[in-house]
Amino acid sequence: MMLLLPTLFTSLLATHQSINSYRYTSTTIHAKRNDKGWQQTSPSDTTLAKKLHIEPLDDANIKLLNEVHPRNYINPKPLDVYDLVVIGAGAGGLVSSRQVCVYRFCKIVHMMCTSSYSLHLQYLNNYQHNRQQEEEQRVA
Amino acid sequence: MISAELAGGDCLNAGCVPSKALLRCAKLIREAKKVAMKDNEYGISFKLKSTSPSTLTNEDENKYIEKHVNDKYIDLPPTITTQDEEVEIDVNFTQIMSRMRNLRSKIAPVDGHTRGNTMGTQTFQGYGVFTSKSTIEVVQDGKSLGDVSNPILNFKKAVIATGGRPNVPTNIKGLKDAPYTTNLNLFNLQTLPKRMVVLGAGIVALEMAQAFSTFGSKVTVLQRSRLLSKSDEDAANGIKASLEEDGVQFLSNVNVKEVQTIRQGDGKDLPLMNLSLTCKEHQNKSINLECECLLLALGRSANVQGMGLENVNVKYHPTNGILVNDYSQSISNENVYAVGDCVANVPRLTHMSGEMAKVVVQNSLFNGRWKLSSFVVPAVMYTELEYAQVNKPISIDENGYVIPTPPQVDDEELDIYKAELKSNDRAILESTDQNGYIKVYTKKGTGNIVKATIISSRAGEMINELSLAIKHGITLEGIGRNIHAYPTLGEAVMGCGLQYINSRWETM
Repeated sequence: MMLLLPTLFTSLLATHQSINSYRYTSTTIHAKRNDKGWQQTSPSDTTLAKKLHIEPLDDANIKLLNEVHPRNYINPKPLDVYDLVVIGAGAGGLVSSRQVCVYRFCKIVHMMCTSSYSLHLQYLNNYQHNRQQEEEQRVA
Repeated sequence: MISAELAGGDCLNAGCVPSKALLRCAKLIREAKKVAMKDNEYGISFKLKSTSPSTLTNEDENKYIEKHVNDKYIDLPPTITTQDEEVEIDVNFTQIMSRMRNLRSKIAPVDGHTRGNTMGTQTFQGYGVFTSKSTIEVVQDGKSLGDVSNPILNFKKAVIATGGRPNVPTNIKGLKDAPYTTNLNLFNLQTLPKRMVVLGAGIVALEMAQAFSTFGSKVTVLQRSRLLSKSDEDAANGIKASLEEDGVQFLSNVNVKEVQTIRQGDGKDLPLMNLSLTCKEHQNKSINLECECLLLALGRSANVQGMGLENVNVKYHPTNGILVNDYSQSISNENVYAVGDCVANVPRLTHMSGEMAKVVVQNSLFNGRWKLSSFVVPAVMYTELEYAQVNKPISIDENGYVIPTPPQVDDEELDIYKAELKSNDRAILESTDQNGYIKVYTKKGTGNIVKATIISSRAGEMINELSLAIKHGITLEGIGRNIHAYPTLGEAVMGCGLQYINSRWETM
C-alpha cells in the first residue's frame, strides 16, 4: 500500500498536468480579439450596439459587450469534427456547452480521485454553475 | 458554441438580471415611503442632519428645480409628510438605470466568451445555419450564407438553444411602425416615461408595471384575458390588489384597435403614442390613451426560422418551437437536441433552460435517459407581493412527444389546503403579507402533492420547499411533521401540512 501511494499520487499528478496541458493547449485554438474592444466614441460601434439592443454605449455597457459580444471577434479555426455543437449562447446554450467540458474532465477525475476540486475547477457563485456542481456531485 | 448576438441571452441582457436590479430600487422606494409617512407605525422619520426641513427656503426649492431642469418631465415625487415636516422621496431614474447597467456588467464575465474559452469551449460568433445533416455554417457578421470565409463545423450531435423573442401583434393598426418597447429595449431607457401603457398581463408585464409605477410613471395595464391567466383566480385578485395599491391602473377585456405615432422620439425626447381601444371599464366604448412608453409583454415566440432546420430534418412549429421527445431530442432527427425557449410546449424560464441543458448533455453524450417529464418546475413573479407556483408542467402524448400537462379539475381530482399569512407571526411583525397565502393541492384523498401556489413577500424562497417535496415524493404529512424555524413565513407551508394531518385525526 505504501508503495502504491506514491505511484497513485504520481499518476494523479500526471493526469492533472495532462488535463491542464490540454486546457492550455485548447486555448490556443480559441478565438482572438484584434483590437481594444468597443469604443464609446465610434459611431459605427454605437450603431452596432443599438442593433444589439444595447444603449447607451457607456463604460458599463462597453464592459458588458466586451464580454458577451466582443467587437471584431476573430473566430477560431474549426476542428475536424465536434462531439457537440451548440447553437445559441443564452442560458441553455451556455450550460450545454460548458457542461460538456465539465463532464468530460469529471469523467477522468471521478476515476482517479474523489473531488473535482482537485482540478481547481473554479465555479463562480453563479446560479447555473452552482447547479452544475451539484449535479456532478450527484453523478459522482 | 455559436453565439449570434449577446452571450447570456435575454436572461443576462434583457430579462432576469436587469429587471431584478430595477425591482430592488422599487422595493427600496416603497420601504422609504412607508417610513416617510407622517405618524408611521415604525416610529421612523426623516430629518436633515444640520438643518430642520422647516428651514427649507425658496433657494432650496430653486436648487431642486435647477437640478432637474434638463429633465423632460419634472414629475415631482409625491410630497410625503414625516412626523414633523414634509419630505420628498426623490427618485433618480437615471441613477437607477446606471446602477442596473453597472451590476449587469459585473455579472457578464460569467457568461462571456473569455470564460467559456478557458473552460474548454470553442466560441464562434455568428449565426449558425444547418447546411446538411452533419454540418453547420457560421454566418459571420457582414457575411452571407455560403461565403467562403464562414467557418463550417462538422458535428456528431447538435443542440439548438436559440431562445425566443417577444411577440408583436400583427392585427393592431399602426403598431408595426410605432416606437413600441419590448423587454429587449426597455432596459435602455434613460428618461422615466411620464405615462406607460403595458399591453399584456403576464409576469414581465406585471413586474415592470409595478416597478415603473413605483418610480413615478403613470402605468396602465391592458388585459385581454384574466390577469395571470394560468394561475388560480385568488392569486390573480391578490396580485391585482397589490399592484393597484402601488398606483397601477388595470383595464380589462381590452381590444386595441390602433396605435398612432405622434412623435417617434430620439436621443433626447421619448416617443409619444396614442392608443385607440375599447375595454370593459368604459362599457366597450372607444377611448384614447396617450403614452410615452408602450411596453409589449404578450409572451414569446421561438427563434426557429432561418437556421436551416429543414436541411437537418428537424420538425418545428413556426412560433411554438422545435418538437422534442421526453429526452429533449428532436422527434425527427435523433442527433439533434433542443433546449430552452426555442422548444415547443415547455415553460419559458431560465432555470428550465439550464435544467434542459443538463438533460441534453447527459442524454446526447453519456447515454443518459433523463426525462423532461420528470421535471418539477417552480415559476416566480417578483412583484410585491411575489407570486410563485410549482407543478410538473410537462407530459408526453401517445406519440412520445412533449406536450403541456393538461389542467386538472381542482374540485374533482384534487384536495386543497390553504394557510393564510395574516395570522403568521412573522408576517404580523413585519407588517407585510396580510393578503398572502400558501395553497397546496394534493391528489384527492391522499397527501401526494401535485402543485402549489404561494402569494407572499418571500414566495420565491418558500416555493423551493414544495418543489423539493414534489420532486422526491414527500407528502404533505411529511411537510407537516418537519420542524420549521419560528418565526418564519415558511411556517405557513407547515401549516398546510398540519391541516392535512388534523383532517385525518379520528374523533375523540
